Amino acid sequence: MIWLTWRQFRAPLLSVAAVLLVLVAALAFTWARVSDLAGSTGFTGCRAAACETAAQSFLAAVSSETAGWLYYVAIGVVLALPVLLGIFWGAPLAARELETGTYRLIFTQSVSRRRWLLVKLLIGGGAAALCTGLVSLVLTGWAAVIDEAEGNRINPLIFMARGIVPIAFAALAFVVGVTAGLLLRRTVAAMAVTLLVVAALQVAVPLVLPRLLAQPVTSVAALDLNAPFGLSVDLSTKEAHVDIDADMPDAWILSATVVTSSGAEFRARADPACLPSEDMGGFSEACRTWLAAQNLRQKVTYVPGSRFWALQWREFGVLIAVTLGLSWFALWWIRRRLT
Amino acid sequence: MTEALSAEGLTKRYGRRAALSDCSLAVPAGRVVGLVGPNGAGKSTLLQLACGLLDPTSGRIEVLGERPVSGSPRVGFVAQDTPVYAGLTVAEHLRMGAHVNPSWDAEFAERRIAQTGLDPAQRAGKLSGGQRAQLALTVAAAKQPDLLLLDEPVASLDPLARRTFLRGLMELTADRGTSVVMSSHLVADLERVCDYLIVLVASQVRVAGEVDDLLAGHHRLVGRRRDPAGLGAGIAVVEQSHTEVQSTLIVRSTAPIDDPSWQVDRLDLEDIVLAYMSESAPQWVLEGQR
Amino acid sequence: MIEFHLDARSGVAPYMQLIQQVRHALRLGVLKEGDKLPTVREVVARVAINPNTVSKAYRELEYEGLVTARPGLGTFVTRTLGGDSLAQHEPLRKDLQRWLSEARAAGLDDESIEALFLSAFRSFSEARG
Repeated sequence: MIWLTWRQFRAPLLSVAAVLLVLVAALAFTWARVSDLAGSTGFTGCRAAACETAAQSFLAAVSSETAGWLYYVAIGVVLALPVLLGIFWGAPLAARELETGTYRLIFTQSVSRRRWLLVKLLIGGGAAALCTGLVSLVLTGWAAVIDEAEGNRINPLIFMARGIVPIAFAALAFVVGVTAGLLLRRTVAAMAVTLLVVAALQVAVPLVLPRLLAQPVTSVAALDLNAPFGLSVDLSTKEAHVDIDADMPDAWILSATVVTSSGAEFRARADPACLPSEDMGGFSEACRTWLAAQNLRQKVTYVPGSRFWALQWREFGVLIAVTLGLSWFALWWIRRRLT
Repeated sequence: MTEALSAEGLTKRYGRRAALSDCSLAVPAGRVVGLVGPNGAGKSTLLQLACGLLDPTSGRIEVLGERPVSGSPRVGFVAQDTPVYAGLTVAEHLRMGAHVNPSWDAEFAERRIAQTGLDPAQRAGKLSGGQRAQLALTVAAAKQPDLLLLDEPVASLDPLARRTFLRGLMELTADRGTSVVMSSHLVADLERVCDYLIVLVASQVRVAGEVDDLLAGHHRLVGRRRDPAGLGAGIAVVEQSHTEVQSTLIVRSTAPIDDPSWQVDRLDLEDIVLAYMSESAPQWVLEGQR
Repeated sequence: MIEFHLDARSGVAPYMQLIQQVRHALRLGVLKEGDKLPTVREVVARVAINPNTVSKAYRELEYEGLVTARPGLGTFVTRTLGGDSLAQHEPLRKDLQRWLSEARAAGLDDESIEALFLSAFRSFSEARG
C-alpha cells in the first residue's frame, strides 16, 4: 500500500518539492545579504531610540534589493501553498479513483478501504505538512531580522506565514480536499469546493482564531498629549472624542481607546475652545489645557510579540485537532457510507 | 459443499430507485456460473454486493459462507470496463498486486502476462480493451481467490480478444479449481465456458441450473393449434405463441416428449435464455428453478 | 491426437458434442486403440470450454468403455467403434448412392429427399425401439 501510494503520488510530490527547493535555495543565498544590511545600517545591536531610524533605513535598504521582493514572494507561497496542496493533492486523491472507476480495482485487493485511506492520508498529509513546514520555517528564520525591524511578526496576516501554523494549515487543507473528493466523487467539483472552503478558512482563521486564543494584555497609561492624536467633535451634539494611534513596537494592537479616570470611554461636551475654528491651525492652547484637565488615560488592548510562539502552538493545536476530526470523519465515511 | 454465493431477500436501493429488490439465489461452489439477464436486472449490483463494494439496504448475502467485505483475500473481482491505473505500467500493476495481496502468486502473474503477450513496460492507459481485460483478470487471479467475480468482462472486446480472454479464464479454473461467477450478455460464450447458468430478470431468478440439464430439458414443440394445458404432468410451458392453425411452445420437461403430433426441436442456450427473459413467460414456471 | 471444436448453434450440450466427436473419430478410424486424448487443460486452452464439461465428457466415454484414464499419464482409447463394420461402409455407401440417383430420377429435390430419409429413418428407429 505504501509503495502504491508513493508510486501514484511521486510525480505531484516531486514537482512541488522542486519548486519549493528553488525558493528555499533563493532564501539561503540571500540570507547573508539580509544580515549584512542589518549590520551596515546599524540595526543590529542598535540601542533604544536609535533603533527606530536604524530599522527604517534597514527596511529601505532591503526593499531595494532582491531580498525585498523575495520577502513578499515567500509570504505569498506560504499563504497559497495550503490552498494549492488541498486542490491538487487532496481533492483528486479519492475523487479520481471514484470518477475513473479504479476504486473497484484497488478496493477488491486484499486491503481494506479504511487502511487504503489511512495510508494515503498519512503520506499525503505528511508530505503537505513537510513541504509547507520547510518553506515556512526557513522563511521564519530568514525574515527574523526583517520582522524585528517591522515589529509585526504577531500581526495575524504575517503570523499565518510564520512558524508552525502553516504546517497545520496545509494538513487541514489536504484533508479538506480528500474529504470533498470522497463526498462529491468528482475531481473538478472537489477542487472547486476545496478552493472555496480553504480560501474561506484562510480569511476566517486569522480573523477569529488569534482573538479567541491570544489572551490579550490591557495596559492603561496617562495620555500623552504631545504625541499625535485626533480630536473629533460632533457638530450637532458638541460631543468630543479623542482618537489615538497606539504606538507599540512588536505587538498586535486589538484596540486603543481613550478613557476617563473612571475607566469609561471619554465622551464629553466639548469646551468651546475645541470647536473647529476658521483658521484650522490645529488645537488652540485653551483646548489643550481643557483636555489636559480632563485627566485622560490611554487604554490599549494588545498581544505582545513575546507571545508569538505560545500563540503559534495554540493555533497549531486547534488546526491539527480539526484536521484529525475531519480525517476521522473521512475514514468513517469510506467504510460506512461510500457503499 | 458450501455455497459460493447465497442471497435472501437481498435489496439495494439508491434513494428511491431500487437496483436490486428482494433477490434470493444460491450459487454452488466449484462451478463456472453464468449470470444473464436484461440490462437493469441487477446483475452488476449483485456482483458488487458480493465483493463488498456495496452494502445491502436490506436482506442477507453470504459469499463463501461469510458476509462479504471489500478487501477480502478470498474474493477476486474484475469490474465492468476492467478499470486499471492508466498511469501505471503493466509490470507496476503486478508490483501493486504483490504489495496489496499477501497471497499474491508473482510467478503465476508474470507467466500469464508473458502468455498473453503483454509488454510489461507498456502503460496500462495505452492497452487495448482486450489487453486491459487480460491485465485485470491477471491481477484478480494472481491473488489466488477462492471465488472470482467477473462483471461483463468481455462485453467491449472483439471476438478474437474475447476468445483469448475466455481461454485464459478456463485455463485458470482448470489449474486452480476457482469458483467463477460471470455476468454477460453473450450467451453463446457462456454456453461454452459455464457449467451453471442463472437467468436474472427484474431481480428475480427465472431459472437456474446446470447448463447440460437446461439444454437437455428444454424443447421447442411445433404442431397444430391446441391448448397447452393438456400437455400432461412434468411439462412446463416457458413460452408460447399461437397462430390460427399452429402452436409453438417452448417447454421444460424432465421426461422425453413422446406425443408424435408435436415436432420436437432442440434449443440452444440462447433460445432458452431468451424464452425466460421474454415478457410472455408465465409466472408459474418460476418454481422450475433448482 | 484429435482436436475438438464446438458448434454453439447446434443445441447439443457441449459435453455431448465432445463425446460425439470422439465417437465419430473412433468410427472413422481417426482414433485407434492406445491413442491418447488431449488433456483437459489442453482442450480448455484450445477451445475455451469449461474444464468440468471436458471431464464430464471423458467420464462418460470411460463409462461407455471407450477410453480409460491412467492417472498422471492421460486418457487413452481402449477400443475402436465400428471395427468390423468399417469394411461394410463402402458397399453400403454404393447402395445409398444408387438409391439417391433413383430418387433424383423420380423428380425429388434435395429437401424432399432429406425429409423422406429422415422420416423413414425415424419410423425405422421407433419400430426397432
